Amino acid sequence: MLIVLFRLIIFFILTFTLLPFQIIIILFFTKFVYIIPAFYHKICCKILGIKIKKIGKISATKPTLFVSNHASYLDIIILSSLFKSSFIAKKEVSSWPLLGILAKLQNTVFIDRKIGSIKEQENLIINHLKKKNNLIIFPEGTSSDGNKILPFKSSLFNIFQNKNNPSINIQTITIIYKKVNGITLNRVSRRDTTWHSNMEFIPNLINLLKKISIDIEVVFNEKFIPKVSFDRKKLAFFCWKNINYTLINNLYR
Amino acid sequence: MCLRPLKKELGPKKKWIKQPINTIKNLLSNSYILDRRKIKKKIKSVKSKNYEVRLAKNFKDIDAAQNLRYKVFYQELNAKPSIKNILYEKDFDELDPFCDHLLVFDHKKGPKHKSIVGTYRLIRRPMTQIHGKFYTESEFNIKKILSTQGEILELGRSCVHPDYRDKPIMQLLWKAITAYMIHYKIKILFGCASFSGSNVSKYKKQFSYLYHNYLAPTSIRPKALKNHYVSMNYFNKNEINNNEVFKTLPPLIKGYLRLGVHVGEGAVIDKQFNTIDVCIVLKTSAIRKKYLEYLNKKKVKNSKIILFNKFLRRKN
Repeated sequence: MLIVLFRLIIFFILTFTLLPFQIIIILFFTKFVYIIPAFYHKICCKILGIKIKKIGKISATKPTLFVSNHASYLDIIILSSLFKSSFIAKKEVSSWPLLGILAKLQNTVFIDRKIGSIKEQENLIINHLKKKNNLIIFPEGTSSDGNKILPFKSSLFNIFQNKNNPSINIQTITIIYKKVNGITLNRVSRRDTTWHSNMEFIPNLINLLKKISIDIEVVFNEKFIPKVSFDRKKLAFFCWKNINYTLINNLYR
Repeated sequence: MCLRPLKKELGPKKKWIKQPINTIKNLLSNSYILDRRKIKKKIKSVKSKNYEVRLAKNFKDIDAAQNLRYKVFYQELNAKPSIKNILYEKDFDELDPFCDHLLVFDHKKGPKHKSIVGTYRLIRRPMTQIHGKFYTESEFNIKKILSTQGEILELGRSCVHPDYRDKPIMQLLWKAITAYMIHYKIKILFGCASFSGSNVSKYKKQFSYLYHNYLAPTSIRPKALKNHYVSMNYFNKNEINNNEVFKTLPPLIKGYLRLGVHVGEGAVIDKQFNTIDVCIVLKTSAIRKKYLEYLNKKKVKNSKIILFNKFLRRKN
């Protein structure tokens, strides 16, 4: 249990020293929003013992919409330590203690997931992209157990159907949980390490903090510009196929 | 835009192809992945009333073994832990992920991983193809053993929970090891056995007893590395009373000697673990009959052991 305390103490010292600076930046110097979070997440990776292996090129054009699979809250730390961008989250996240504040400080776009509010969602996302900021979405809606990818929800891909919107690059990302403590995971042990369905947060976090190292592979697939004529459901399925292909090739080869 | 999945940037698959074919063939020929299922079944058949013996399946099992090792080595036997060891409350090194860990559980003791009672660490040749070294190589020169043909097995990091020292845990472990030995057709066993404490003068008699009676044949004799070398020859053969000295040996080494183990030349002081290590070697062809007879005769008190004798008899 000593390691859990040790890691938590370092984490809290880090967050509360960087927090006031980030608040000042987000209020007055909106150009430099991503400098501190990138640094912060890199150190978080070191604290947790996460080793990231990057495969493929990250798209450099701005803005890019990154589509990724989602298996644990670690995904957020991993992705934002690799490149500068912000996330889309549901509205409830903004009221979570501490995590809500941290999410707001990273320029997160909060959306309402009610049926009637699709247009508002669209406007929020497009406004964000027009400022030339990257975005990451987890179209699964929830987190999976890391062994498979759940079907994508296509409503967010609606923005590509509107002809008035500027053309935006899409890049799909596959996050693969490979090893814990240097030992390759199998289906069962991977299910135990990731955070999904109705798992409780705190026991999962404590288990995670006990681990010596976690090896993760992040695969960046080729980016593309979708055509306007393309159906949103087809587009979602295409992204799903891309991510699924790399995941299955990595796990069950 | 194409609807086919993108095949270009798949790093790991390419790497796999790039590896020279020879190594893949080697890996497959004595792969420890392919026939793991069979050996797992065989070892699981070693059963006692509430004890279970098996190989480690995933990182949780190995974690449990590492925790037990920390308790025994660092808290009981006064090894010097590094900061990492204290923080994690584990004894670990970079070899652990590649090894086979043999575990004994007592189901009466508690829930799943808290019920661990004894461990052993087993390393074979194909495992070192990935990492590159046996543990013994850091203390002894074992090139003669490595150059022999056939499979070899290193034993190490054996420990039993302090409350279970008077129970037949070690025997269960050894039964599982024999099953393992026969399954993989192992020719030579070797490893480090240790005397607790780092004071050599305490064990002068014991060392010379081992040196005179159990020195390994020159064809497979390991030798302590030069910068660690501690002599084992202090007394003449006549000066030692064999029976008396044998009683004072540590129990693990006694058990090894009963199997017919030989000892390498020179001892090594391990400062981190606060022990003096001796290298042991065992040709399986020499011991098998003796030990099997011993196994058949001696049945452990208060516990019905379903032996896998049938299996052993068939093989011989």
